[in-house]
This record gives sequence, C-alpha cells and structure tokens, in this order.
Amino acid sequence: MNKSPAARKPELPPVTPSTRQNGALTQPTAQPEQARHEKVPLAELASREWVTGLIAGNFILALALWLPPALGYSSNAPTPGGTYAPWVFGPVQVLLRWMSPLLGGVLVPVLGLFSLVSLPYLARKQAWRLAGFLFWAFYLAVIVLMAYFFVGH
Amino acid sequence: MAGASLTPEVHPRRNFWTHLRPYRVYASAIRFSHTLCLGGLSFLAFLILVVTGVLLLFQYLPGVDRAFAAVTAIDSVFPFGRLFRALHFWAGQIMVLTVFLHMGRVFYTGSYRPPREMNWIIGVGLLVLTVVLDFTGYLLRGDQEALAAATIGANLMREIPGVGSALASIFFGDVSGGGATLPVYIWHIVGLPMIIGLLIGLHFWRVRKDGIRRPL
Repeated sequence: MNKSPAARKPELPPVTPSTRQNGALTQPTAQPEQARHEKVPLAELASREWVTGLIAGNFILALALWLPPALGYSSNAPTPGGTYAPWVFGPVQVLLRWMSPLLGGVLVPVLGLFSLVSLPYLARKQAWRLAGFLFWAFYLAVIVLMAYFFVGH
Repeated sequence: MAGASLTPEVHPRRNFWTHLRPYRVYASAIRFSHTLCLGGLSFLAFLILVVTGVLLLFQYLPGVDRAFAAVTAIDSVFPFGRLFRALHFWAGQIMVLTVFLHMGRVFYTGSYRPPREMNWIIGVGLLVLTVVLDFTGYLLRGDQEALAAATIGANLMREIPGVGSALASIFFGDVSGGGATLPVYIWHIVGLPMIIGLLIGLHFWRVRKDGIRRPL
C-alpha cells in the first residue's frame, strides 16, 4: 500500500469559525475530535519523558539493589546435576524436552517468527481471523511454555 | 481497540532529528495511558544497558579462563561494580519483557496493518535481536551455566542443515571450555548493539512517518 503521505493524512474535522466576543476573537470550546488534533510544544513531551524515565530508572535501580544477580560456579568446577537455560530461552528448553533438537530448537521457533512476519501480509489480504489466530497462538504458547518452565524450575 | 492515525506536520527545517523530535507534537499522543508506552520503556532500558555496559567494559575480560575471574572481581573488588552489573542485568531483563509486551500491544491496536508492515517486521527483528543480546550477555558471565547454555546454543545452531556448523563457528567460536569466547564478546558489545541501535532509529523514524497509533 504505497499511499502518498497526503493520502494517509486523516481528515480533519471542519474548523468552526472564530467569533468576536467582547472585542476579541475567541474560539469556541474544542470538540473532542478537534482535541485529538491539538498540538503542544516538544518541551511538554520532554518533561513527561524525564518523569517517566526517572520512575522507570528508579524501579530498575531498586531491582538492582534488592535482587542483585547471582553468579554460578566457575566453569572449571565439577558439572552440577542439572542446568537451566536463561528464562528468555525457557520455552525453547521446554520444547527440547518433548521434541528433537532440530524440531524444537530450530524449526518450531523459526516457524513462530515466520508467522509473526507474515501478519501484515495476511492483513493486506484481510485475513483477520487467521492473523489473529497466528499471533495469539504464538503469544499464548510463549506465555504457557514460560510458565511451564518456571514451574519446572 | 483501533486508535486514530496521526501524521506529523511538515515544518520548514526538516531533517532526521526534527523528524524524530518535531517542534510540536499531538497532545493526545503524549497522554499517559494504561499501555505505559512500552516501546519507550524498552528504549530506556537499552540506554541503561549501553551506559552500564560501557562502564563494565573497563573491567571485563573475555576468555574462557578470564571471564569468570573478571566478573567475580567486578562484583567484589571494584567500587560500585556489583551495582553496575546488577543494573545491566535488570535492564536487560526489563528490555526483553517490555519488547515482548510492546509487541502484544502493537498487535492489539492493529498497528501491524498496512501501511505499517515494514515497522512491524523491524519490530520482530528487534525482538529477536534483543533475546539474542540477552543470551550473549548470559554467556559472558563465564560460569558453569553459561558453559551449558553455550554448548546447547552452539549444538542447536549446528542442527541447521548446510550452514549450521559455519554459523556456530562464526557466532560462538570454540565453546568447549566456556561461553565467554571472543566472538560472543564482540557480538555482544559491538555487533548486536550497533544493529539494534540502527533498527531502533529506523523504527522510530517509521513511527513518525506512518503516524502514531494510540494508545502508545
């Protein structure tokens, strides 16, 4: 869909003409649709970014102070009985318990990513249900496998 | 569910920076909402990762024998070393989490649909690279778990028919003694952050170009 920027621009509501009141030009109260297109200076955005950044930064700092990451044993030490993948690879580790390395470690994750990449093209063909099914199947599978991984951990 | 599409206004001095940071922005686009602007939070986590990562670079040494000793020294000897490593660790976990949740929000609001398909694909790429960045950071600890993870990761990569062994050598190097090899180190501190940084810039540029879709 190579639309020109002008074609993509939303249609603005008709502008209500200014009215003269008490010797000055006044604008009538903004309607909700007009309020959606109201603009503010960049400083407003920057100040909100700073506030959000400070809150989120303090949250990460609190995690770092209260829950510092542990370090295991040296790789020269005797191998322990069982090892666990980092949590981000928990779903893959669960799949590897049930499937062959090629299937659970390569093909299924690659197919999952391929389904994500295909979503805009399904949307272009207006296959909304298939797109929704593929995405939520992927998303929920990751969450369920992650939960399974943590329970097993 | 579906929000309105808003395009940036054209102003006279237009360049890449003013495109990303226009002089005036839509008031509705900067309103705090229940979706927490997760893309922005993941970018903040990336910035924290870069800053703390650069500080850790001054003390860290890659190598099968040296990595674990270097991380132990960072934790126990160097001033604030443990704090910087903990910040680096948690920023990495938060980044993975927020990128994943951000993807859910983008799909939920229909922002993956045309004309935003290219940005969706860039976002999927960023998700994959973020997970790989987290994985390489895990390997650089140089402990037993990193060794096990590197061995599994390299063996899985070798399962790819044809090019698997070559890819494993390029990405992991020789992981028989540990995960903190020189290739993993280079990918973690140079290759992946550079690619992620470029893709983030492109991602933000496309967000402005295609118009913001609320809630953020």
